[in-house]
Amino acid sequence: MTRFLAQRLLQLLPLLLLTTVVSFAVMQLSPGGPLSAYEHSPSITAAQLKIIAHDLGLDQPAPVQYWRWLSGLVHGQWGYSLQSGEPVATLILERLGNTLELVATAFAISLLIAVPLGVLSSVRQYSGFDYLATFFSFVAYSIPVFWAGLMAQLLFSVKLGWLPVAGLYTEGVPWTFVDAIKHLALPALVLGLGLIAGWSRYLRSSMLEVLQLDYLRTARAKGASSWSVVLKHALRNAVVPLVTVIALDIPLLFTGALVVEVVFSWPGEGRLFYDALQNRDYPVLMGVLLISAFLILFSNLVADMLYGFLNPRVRYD
Amino acid sequence: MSDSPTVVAGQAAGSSVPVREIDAGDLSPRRPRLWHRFARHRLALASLCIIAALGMIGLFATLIAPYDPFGQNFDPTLLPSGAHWLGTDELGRDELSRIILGARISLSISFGATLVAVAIGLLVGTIAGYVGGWVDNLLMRFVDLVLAFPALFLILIVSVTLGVGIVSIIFLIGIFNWTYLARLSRAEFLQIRELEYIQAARAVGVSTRRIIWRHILPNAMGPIIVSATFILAAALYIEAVLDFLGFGISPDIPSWGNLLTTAQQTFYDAPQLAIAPGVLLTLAILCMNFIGDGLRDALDPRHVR
Repeated sequence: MTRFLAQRLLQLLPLLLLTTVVSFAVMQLSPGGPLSAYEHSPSITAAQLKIIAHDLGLDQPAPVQYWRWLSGLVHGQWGYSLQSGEPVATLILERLGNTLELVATAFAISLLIAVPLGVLSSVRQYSGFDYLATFFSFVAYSIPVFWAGLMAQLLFSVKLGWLPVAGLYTEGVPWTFVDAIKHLALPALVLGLGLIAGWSRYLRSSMLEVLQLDYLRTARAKGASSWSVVLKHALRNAVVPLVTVIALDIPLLFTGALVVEVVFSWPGEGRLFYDALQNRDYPVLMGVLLISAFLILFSNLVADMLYGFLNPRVRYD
Repeated sequence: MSDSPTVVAGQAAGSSVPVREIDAGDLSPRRPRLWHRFARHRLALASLCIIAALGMIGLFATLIAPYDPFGQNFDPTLLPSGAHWLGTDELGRDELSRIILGARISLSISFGATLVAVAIGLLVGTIAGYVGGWVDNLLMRFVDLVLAFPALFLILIVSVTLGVGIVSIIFLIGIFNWTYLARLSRAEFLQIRELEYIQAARAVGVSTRRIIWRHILPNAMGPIIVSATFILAAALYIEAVLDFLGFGISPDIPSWGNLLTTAQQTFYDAPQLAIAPGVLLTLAILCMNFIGDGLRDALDPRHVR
């Protein structure tokens, strides 16, 4: 297992390096270059511009610039936002908590709903409940996230007035837990909608495969109650492939968070990315892009690890 | 695929009958059976009809639309009325007519993007799977690299940097959604190229291009079509998200995504403007997913439903 982990990490390294190359290239894409803001300024002459470029190392060839940038990156120097002048690393860290709160809640809700839904659907295969769950899963999976958000706002906030429309908490009022939960409920549910559908469908088919295996018939023949067979014997094996799927879906949660955070004015990484897009704030865009790439690669690794860990039949050497 | 036709390449050596190449397509009894199996999936069949209807509406949009989608009515009513079934937007343009034209725009962009994605994915997958070796390794590591980034983020950055029109958004969405299909077609090619009928075809001197086009591709088509259906649904969604976030095609063009964006301005006064395009988007995506599901079931008889 340790050897496998080391091997995978070694394989990951070139890919990690390549993602930084791509992110650096994105940075170079920015029209006009990093000094374009000064180009039309009357107080700066072309000669001064050259001096600034030299001081910043912008007259160096791209590989040299990349190398300098990369060594800065390793030391936590992620550049500065063109918009606010704040360090990109600070901007990202500031909002990380909000995004994690949203994503973790969505994750928990999805899991809590998807697992019972998937188990019930498989045990009662072809029942009315199964058909209904299947149909609604497809609908939930197909609804565009931003539209689901808009409709949730329209129904629960505008028409019914149960929950606030947007934001992290009510402005100008002392922070309370209930208020925070109320603000969290809609975005988290909307973000989790697609995952509930995907995971419950996946667990259903995985359960159906396991339920017809011989060892379950043996367990039933030995007199184990049907629910204990389903939960203790079947679910434990059926859940193994689901764990991999869940780990692979984690990046999806963060891209989904981009849209949800925009709809619900949730001040997280997605909102940061969206604002940076509007201001063409390339250092911030690059920072978020790089973080998300790391996250995806990390999730893939976790998925691989978990699969081997939960399924002793998989041997890594 | 268990029911792939076995091709007998002529008679045994030494007999007087000339050795002849037989097309996979000549013998394939799969098509009619496939249709029957697909038609058993009622929701998929209904979905196919709905997508076809939406396609027709898009095709004849200018004939069907009750008003000029860009014509302004200077007495805007916003709310639905006898004259304007879905009301008008904030500039007094008939919403129903705009949604009908939107079907043409949104569907053609997603179909176009899917074509681009399938073309790239098939090309990469075919080369990787058929040539193999270091070419395969290089291409698949490239796929890994593309997959390491969230496609939506890359599309948004490129769109912001270069700006997009209808044609460029088709290519943009296609260019970032071919990876899964490439992996899939590579796996199909790897598997099929080792089958005996391919060796037989090679033995009778069929050219590589012909082997790929006539002998491997038709048999690899099933999973590829299924995956293309899901790409179609994803493309429709991505196009709408891009428009919604304001980084898609020009807001003057009434795609379903753009209609949703403008509807937000009058969200409280005329909610139907935000509901109608979203319902159509959901319906179209739902139908595409059902069709993909139905096709997958039809192609894989062992698949548990």
